[in-house]
Amino acid sequence: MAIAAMILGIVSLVFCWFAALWWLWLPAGVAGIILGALGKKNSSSKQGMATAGLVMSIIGLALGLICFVACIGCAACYGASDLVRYY
Amino acid sequence: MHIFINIFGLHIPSYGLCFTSALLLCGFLIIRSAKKRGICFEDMIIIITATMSVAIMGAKLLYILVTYTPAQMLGYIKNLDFTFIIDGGIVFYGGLIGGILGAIISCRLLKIKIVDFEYCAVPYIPLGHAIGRIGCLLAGCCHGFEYYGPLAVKSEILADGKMYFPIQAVEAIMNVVIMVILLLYRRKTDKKDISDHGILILYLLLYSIMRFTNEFFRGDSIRGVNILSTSQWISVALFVACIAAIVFRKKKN
Repeated sequence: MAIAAMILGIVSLVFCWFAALWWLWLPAGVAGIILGALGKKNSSSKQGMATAGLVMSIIGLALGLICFVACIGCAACYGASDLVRYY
Repeated sequence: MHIFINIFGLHIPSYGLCFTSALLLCGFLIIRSAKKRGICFEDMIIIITATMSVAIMGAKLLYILVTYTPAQMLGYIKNLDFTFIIDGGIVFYGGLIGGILGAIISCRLLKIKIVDFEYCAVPYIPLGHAIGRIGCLLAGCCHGFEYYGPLAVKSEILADGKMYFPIQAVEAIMNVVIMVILLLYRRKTDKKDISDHGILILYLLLYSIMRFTNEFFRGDSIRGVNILSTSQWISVALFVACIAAIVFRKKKN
């Protein structure tokens, strides 16, 4: 689990700079955080690796979200206007 | 207002910065509260991550359901065009429902009482929401109706030269007020044996009233079905459900 968290953390950190690869770094970051936390909790020997995976996943997700999250609430409003026209 | 903020020469998207800051700050505060309740750091990280992920999926799903007709969705899927899933936005109420489901599932799996997690997390949801609304104010989206009085703001995203009512700032302030009320309620009930969902009911009640009222001041597009917007209909249903829950709790006690 710790090794998986480390790999996913690296993937998230490396690919978070590319918006088109959101389908890669976003789930990798989420999975890396969960596996890193589980690895820290359950494993006594690979704590360092689990922590590294956890930290890298958090940083990768944070950087990706800062760069690529637009104001997505607004588009819901425009979507609702389509629904009104439909009715 | 500014879509980008200049920090040490870097152009950082203001909404993304606010969104991520809200997540990190609220995560930190929730984990700090959880320590006092004896929930370990790792369990809390897992619950917060799972809750946020399901919340975002729920928010997106509700947006898709209110935006596209079944025929439109089938049309896209038949053409193997899945861009409609990532295009567009999200709906807060979908996020709330998804978040509650994500929290219930992850707490069950980790054998943690959902009520304990509620008391740690619920007071900080309006804080995160308030910071997100500041991001909206900076970006100029989710704006109010056209308005040229005091404190009117421009929308950089629209760049149409018009001024709008700063409903994003009003919502941010109201969310902070809700957070203070929830923290005071938590302090009052903290030493008692908590086995009900009082803090969640209180938050949903206050938020539904706030959202119903604020929707009248929104001007970003024609919204909803018949007289009220989608969010207003959900607010009404939520308000009724909260009142029913309060009456049921009183009868039970």
